[in-house]
Amino acid sequence: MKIALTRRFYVALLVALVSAVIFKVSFFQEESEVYLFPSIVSIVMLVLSLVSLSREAYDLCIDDFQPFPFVRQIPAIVMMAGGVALVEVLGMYSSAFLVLLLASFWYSPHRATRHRLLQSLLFSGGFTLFIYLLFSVMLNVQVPRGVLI
Amino acid sequence: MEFIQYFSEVFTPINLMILIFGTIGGLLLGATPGLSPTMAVALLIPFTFQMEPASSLIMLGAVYTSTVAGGAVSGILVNIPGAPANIATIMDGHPMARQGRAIEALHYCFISSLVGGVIGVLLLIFFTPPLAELALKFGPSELFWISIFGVTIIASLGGGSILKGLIAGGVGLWLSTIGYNPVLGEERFVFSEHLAGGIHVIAALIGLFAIPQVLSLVSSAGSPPGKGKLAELRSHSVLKSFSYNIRRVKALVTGTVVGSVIGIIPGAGGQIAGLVAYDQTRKMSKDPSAFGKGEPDGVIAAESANNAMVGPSLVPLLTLGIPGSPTAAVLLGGLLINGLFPGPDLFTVHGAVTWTFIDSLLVGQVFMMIFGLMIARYSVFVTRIPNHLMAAAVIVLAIFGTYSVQNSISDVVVMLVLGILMYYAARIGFSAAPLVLGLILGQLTETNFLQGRMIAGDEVWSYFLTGPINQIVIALCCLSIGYSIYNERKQIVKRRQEARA
Amino acid sequence: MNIMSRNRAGVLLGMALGLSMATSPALAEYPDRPISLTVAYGAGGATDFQARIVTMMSAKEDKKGNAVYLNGQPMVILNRPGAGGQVGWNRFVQRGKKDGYELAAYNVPHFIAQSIVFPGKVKYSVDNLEPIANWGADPAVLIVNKDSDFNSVQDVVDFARANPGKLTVSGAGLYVGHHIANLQFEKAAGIKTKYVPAGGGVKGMQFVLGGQTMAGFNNLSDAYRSRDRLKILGVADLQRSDFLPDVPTLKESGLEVDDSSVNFRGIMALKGTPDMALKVLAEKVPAMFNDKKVVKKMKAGGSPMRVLSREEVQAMWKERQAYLTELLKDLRKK
Repeated sequence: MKIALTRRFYVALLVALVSAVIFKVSFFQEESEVYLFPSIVSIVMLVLSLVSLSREAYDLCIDDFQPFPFVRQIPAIVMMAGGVALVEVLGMYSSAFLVLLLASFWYSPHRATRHRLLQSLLFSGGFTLFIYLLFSVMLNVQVPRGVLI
Repeated sequence: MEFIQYFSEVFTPINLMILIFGTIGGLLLGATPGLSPTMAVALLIPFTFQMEPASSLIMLGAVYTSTVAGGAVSGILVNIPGAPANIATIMDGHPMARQGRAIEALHYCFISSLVGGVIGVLLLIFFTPPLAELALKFGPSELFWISIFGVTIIASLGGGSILKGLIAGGVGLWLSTIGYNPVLGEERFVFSEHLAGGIHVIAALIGLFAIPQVLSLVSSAGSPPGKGKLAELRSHSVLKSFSYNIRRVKALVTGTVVGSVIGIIPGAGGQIAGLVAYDQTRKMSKDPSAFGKGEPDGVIAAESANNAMVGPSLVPLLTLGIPGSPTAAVLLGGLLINGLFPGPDLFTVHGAVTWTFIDSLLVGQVFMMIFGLMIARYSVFVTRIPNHLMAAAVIVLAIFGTYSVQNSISDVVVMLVLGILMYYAARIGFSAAPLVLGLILGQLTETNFLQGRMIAGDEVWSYFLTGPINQIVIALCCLSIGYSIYNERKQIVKRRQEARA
Repeated sequence: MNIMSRNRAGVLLGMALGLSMATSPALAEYPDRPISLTVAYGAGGATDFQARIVTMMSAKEDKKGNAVYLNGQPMVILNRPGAGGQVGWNRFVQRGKKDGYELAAYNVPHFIAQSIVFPGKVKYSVDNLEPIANWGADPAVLIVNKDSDFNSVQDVVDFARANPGKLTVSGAGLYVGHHIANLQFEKAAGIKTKYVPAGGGVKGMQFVLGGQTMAGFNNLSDAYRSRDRLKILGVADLQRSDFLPDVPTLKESGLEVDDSSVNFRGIMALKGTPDMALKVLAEKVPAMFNDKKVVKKMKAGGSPMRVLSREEVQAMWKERQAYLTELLKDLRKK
């Protein structure tokens, strides 16, 4: 049989490489008892990923890939990462408010009008208040403060 | 029959009010993505300082039972399990919701919770002494095999390919070893300061389920609500749900039995009860391929199991002071603060308080179902929330929920990174459930493996391989693996035949 | 699409600027907001449960509405369990703020022993922490299962001498009080045991109750509660306990074991915390521990109390540091 260089083959190759890295960091350690269990796991993973690689190479698996969307997700990922980065600068509630406002405004299916902005503002304010009541008032969780709260 | 005489205590105005508020509060807290039952109970402990012993235990018990069931709500409606115990529920619960059967799924969830929960508490009432003896038999070797048994079900959790399920489980197991070695206390694999202290299971759970959900919500944010997310919500009469549910005897029995047994085992806890029950029900079903696509039996088995576990998990707690689950550990604090020491005295000297508490658990199960069914009716509002607002709200809840587990921003960072990676991993056929199960089981496996080796000394093989419980669980592991291989073979043969035809 | 996005971005930027106009609060008398208390053990464990009791009156007000202890501010417990306390304490010294609003519960000898055995890996030691006050002292006791053949400390020692390295002893973790007690026990009796860190005092108890290990060192308070299923053979303290007047100390049984393993619990701050805050805490916290309600709850929970002032704890830390350095000098890891 000829080796099939499908997308799935490259993914399996990547998985095998990751397993190899995990094996490398787990197995070659001095204190054996501390690393015993991770070493066992990494050996099993390496074997499994090699089996998977060989099966993909001969195209024995079902295609279970789904489309790989990037464009629409990137703003959301940036908003989440930015929100978390701002927590200790601005304070947890202010950054939550910003994330809510950005996400609800950006992904709104409707045209950007002043009316939409007002709606987003209302939603973000209301939800931040809800979060504040739930976590700070009811559950007494101490959240980080920054310049604001 | 001592417990009957204390039912009147549960129905005093103050206790009844506490029970009702505790149940409703627990359901709502459990239904909020990111709030785990352990946290809910821990946060309530200070409130109990000012209460009578019986009242404070009633509140803790009510919150304990109802948060577990409440976690199913966000699981079914938004595909984010409220707690590790609810992972199995979403596997068929959310597909049902996508087909417009959310209300029906929630009905099954609460009715099965009632059945499992009541039987679990009855076991606690009638069989406490023998069950306590049984609980003590589980030492490191037995727990090691139990967790290996948990690992064997990883294979069939992947949904698609067994190999990919196992690899995802392996990643979970390995991720669980980041941070301190649980027995020897030395640090490993801390590549970034955010990983110091390891990956918290709840943080991982939130990240692996909530963040991919956010990212898929935003990709369909343009379409009007309803379309692309959930089909038109169909109403479903409670009576119809009842009559269907109680006829699913096999799923109910499997769920209840598995949940009760796992509840007794200290340390295994309810986290894996739902998954084991789900897996067994699927394997025993006539049509295993229907699971994962909206099969009510999946919801029934998972939810009856994770509530059946509540009663038995209190057996080692009340008799020996050994908590069977993380939440039960917090309940132990609630008992001690009230001067109630686990042991025989609890059922004699303090009988009034203890029996009132146990009775309230029974009554609480009924309240939980009633309020749960009411919440089910309003779930229509959740499904009507437009995608962009839902996505924004889930992001913020995920961040706050993760943060509040240990007041740690590092947990939030780990949650976010895991979640974003998981979204893309899911696109190439890896699923989140085996990964989380690996994370949960990793610590359990490693701890008991190392402790077993320490106790055994030179006789490692005989220590791990002899003893009736060890051998029974080893047999179960073999059966589980054998079945998975058999099933995979069968599918390959079937596919080849289809290809030839 | 592009133009629309840019519009949205502009509007949002304006909003963000408007938001940042609010200002920070003014300084007031310490403490003017809740104080967090890191507990390096899980919720439900003995340390956690006692910490919750002793801090419950922190926000207390008298009948006239005047604050009694800490300006009416509550203490909020944060659980950061892992590796016998290392996770929580490491994090406390590395990430905690020295403003007097972030405190932690300490367990002696645990944190001192860990700082001696794992220098470098463990970031805390008596040098970068400030004691505030001690609330409790829980001696370690030697326990065996009720069905065990051992009826006295001597039986255990005899077995260990006849079967070197065969006696399994459980305890809460590595380099915690139970482990120190076992190390002292081994040294005094001239025996070798297999110590099994169970991952929590309750787990250690479970190993003894279930017959997984032959013996165990555990907290006196926990053993006292389970005394109908156990035999408590000896107390690793200088005098007998009021809870268990019939149980001899290990010293009375002929073993040179002192009170170094007694588990002291209290509250500490980071070195560098403002003197003003330390002064307030050192004065008010012991008073809070002695609150009638606290004492009553602690007694009901079977938790032995020993309230020590800041000066007393400073002396106790110093003395333990010296003794443990000597005891653990062979176990030191690079």
